[in-house]
Amino acid sequence: MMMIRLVFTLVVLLMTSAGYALEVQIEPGKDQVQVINEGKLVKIRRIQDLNHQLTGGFAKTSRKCPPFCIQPMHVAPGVQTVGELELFEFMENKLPGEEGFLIDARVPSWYEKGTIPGSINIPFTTFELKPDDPKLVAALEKLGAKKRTDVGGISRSLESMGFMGGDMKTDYWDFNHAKELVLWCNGPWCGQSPHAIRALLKLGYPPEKLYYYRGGMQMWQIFGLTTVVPGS
Amino acid sequence: MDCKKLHNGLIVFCGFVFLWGMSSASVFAADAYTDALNAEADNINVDPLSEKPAASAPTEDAPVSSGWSEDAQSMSQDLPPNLGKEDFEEAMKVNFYGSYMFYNRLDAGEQMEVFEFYRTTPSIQAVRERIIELKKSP
Repeated sequence: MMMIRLVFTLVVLLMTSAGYALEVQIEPGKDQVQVINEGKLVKIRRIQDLNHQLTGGFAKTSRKCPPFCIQPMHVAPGVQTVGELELFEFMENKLPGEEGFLIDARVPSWYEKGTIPGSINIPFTTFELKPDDPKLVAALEKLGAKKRTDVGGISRSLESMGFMGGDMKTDYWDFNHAKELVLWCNGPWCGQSPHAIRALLKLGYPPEKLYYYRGGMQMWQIFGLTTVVPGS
Repeated sequence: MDCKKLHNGLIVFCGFVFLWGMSSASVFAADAYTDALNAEADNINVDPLSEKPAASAPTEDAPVSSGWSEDAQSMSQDLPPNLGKEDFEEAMKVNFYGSYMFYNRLDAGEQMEVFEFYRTTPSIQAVRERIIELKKSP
């Protein structure tokens, strides 16, 4: 009798879980990723319509190159390129406590069309501003960097030899507590996030704290993943 | 006249012209890139099936943007005429972000000069040239 009950319970559970799971999952056993976007919980899922196809701008195969050229897999030495599954892991583990940031590096005219949930918008042009520009300073401080002033020559000499955490310091910035960043833009044909990454490296941002989501919005759209319109 | 001095002066002058040309070219190259980005953005629509449905009231005010007005979406090469300074800056930021970026690097007096120049002509080309002139001036 006990055995019958156990088998019956197991069968019910199996049927229930099978009925609940979405048909188009992210990976086996995982059909959603949850993130906070503009203070609200967003469930990232895939479009369930098996006949759905892309239309509009992200269905295009060709754009003028330059400027919309195919980007290399590795954008700079020491900067890791990631895919969607790595991005989901970053979203679940690093975003909640602001241990990391997901950066939409596109100019506002793109960002306002729709973005990947959990992203903050810092256009690549921000990182190319002059070192003392208030917008650049505000952006880097948000990302965990600390502005330095009146750094003495002896200190800098010691730092340049690797002492005093100098490997993550420049004349202007201390990146020791800078966050991990995943930067993305429109996809493998977009140069905006590579621009941003190279500009950050030029500012002294540690490459091991930078990640390049090369797939960008193009791959996000191809996988039918949830996007959000800022301010909606 | 001393031909050697004239020759040396000509070389120096040509050098300055070359450097100025290269600098202008890089300014316009960056400007052209951001203009191309903004133009391509007009062709893009987020797939409605992939968009999160509208939720409850947002936790903060949605940013006000004039970017999606019909004027802003036009392919006109001129700024709308007779705008106030704030609207002029907004129009530059939305439609000509590359030029706006360089305008933003000018000091307050120079920005006012650009704005007053714009009031005489809404041509973005002319405004850009004015910005570059001011950027180069000592």
